[in-house]
Amino acid sequence: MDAHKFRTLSPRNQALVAVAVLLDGREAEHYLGIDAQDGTILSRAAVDLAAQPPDLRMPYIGSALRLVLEQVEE
Amino acid sequence: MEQGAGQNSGAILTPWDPERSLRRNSADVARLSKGFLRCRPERWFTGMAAQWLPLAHSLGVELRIVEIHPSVQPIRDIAQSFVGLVDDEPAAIIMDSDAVGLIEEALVPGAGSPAGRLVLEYIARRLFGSLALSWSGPESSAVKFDRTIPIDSVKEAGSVKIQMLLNNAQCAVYFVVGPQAVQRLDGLWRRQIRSSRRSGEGRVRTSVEIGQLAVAPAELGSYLRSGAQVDMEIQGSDLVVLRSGDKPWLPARLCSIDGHFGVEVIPGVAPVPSLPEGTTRLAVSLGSFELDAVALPEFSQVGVIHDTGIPLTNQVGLIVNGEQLGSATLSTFEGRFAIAVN
Repeated sequence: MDAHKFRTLSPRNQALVAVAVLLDGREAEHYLGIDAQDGTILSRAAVDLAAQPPDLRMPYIGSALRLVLEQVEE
Repeated sequence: MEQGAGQNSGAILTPWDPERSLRRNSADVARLSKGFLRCRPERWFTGMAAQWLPLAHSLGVELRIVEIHPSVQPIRDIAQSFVGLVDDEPAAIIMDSDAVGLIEEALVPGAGSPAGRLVLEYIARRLFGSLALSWSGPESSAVKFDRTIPIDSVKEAGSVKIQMLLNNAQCAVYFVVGPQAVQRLDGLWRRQIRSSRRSGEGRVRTSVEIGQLAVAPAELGSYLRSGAQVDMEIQGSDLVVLRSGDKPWLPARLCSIDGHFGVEVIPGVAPVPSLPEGTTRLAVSLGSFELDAVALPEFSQVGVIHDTGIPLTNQVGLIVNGEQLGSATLSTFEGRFAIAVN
């Protein structure tokens, strides 16, 4: 699964993109794209992640989110 | 003392005190009351509901917008705030404590604080985004989300409160905007009101009338004589009638604005009391002011507050056929308005 753009994000941004794609799927790119600082990279990461087949995407996002939330919490 | 007597019966009248009797309004509220405070923001954000309802549906959340209401009152309950830029001016989305609790409960029940905070932030980003995507006003607008801007950079000039029911529980989200955005929405609404309704040209003289008396022509002299006391037989209140030219135009409430009488247009139609045959209309008026005829449509919206420029006083004019024939002190007697002729 190609999630390179997602993995290169900071843990916080990974968590944000994960939440966005879980809630909005492909539409997430529009809402993340308005970020004044990181709009482009967030939006592209969301597009890549949302493009994955759902059977791969959902478990991947689930585990990635658990992992990065722990890091964000620390 | 009774109406029609026009005599000085020696009753003890209490001079009406507008400073104490009237609600105060600020000049800023009056200025924005014709535009920003009357505007219906949802008319400029067409399709916004369509961006939220599918999400709510897929999450099994029942979402209903109860009210969208512009305001200039400061927001008291601030549980979470998120900052963005509207046309390069800082703006914020503020969630009250009910909204924070309900959104977290609906979307991430039982999650810890980082997950809850991230979901709230994404909802705020989504709200900024859907405002940008659904804006259908005449001029384009650039909306950004920027978490590096501190909340105290937002110069709150007004807000739009979105009152909603989330799973049948009430909560509110506020979109707080700065002076530039308030002015823009204010001007936009006023232009739309002016263009959607017909108006005339020139200036229109508008009088602020407390009430009227029906007087037999033969008794007019006694009503206007110095020292005469007349019970107007109407309850002392802040209700007035605005007359345009010679006709009743709008019902209104008096208020005070920086030492002047203000009038707030209220729902309903101005009463047109009939006079008994053979009597003359003696109007009791606080004064008059001029309005630009092209501004009449925006002025006549319910809720508009207008500074008349008439100084706060209890002195009233006694008007017959548009001509001031005397003056009096507006007073109260047993809760009713009365006049003591000067």
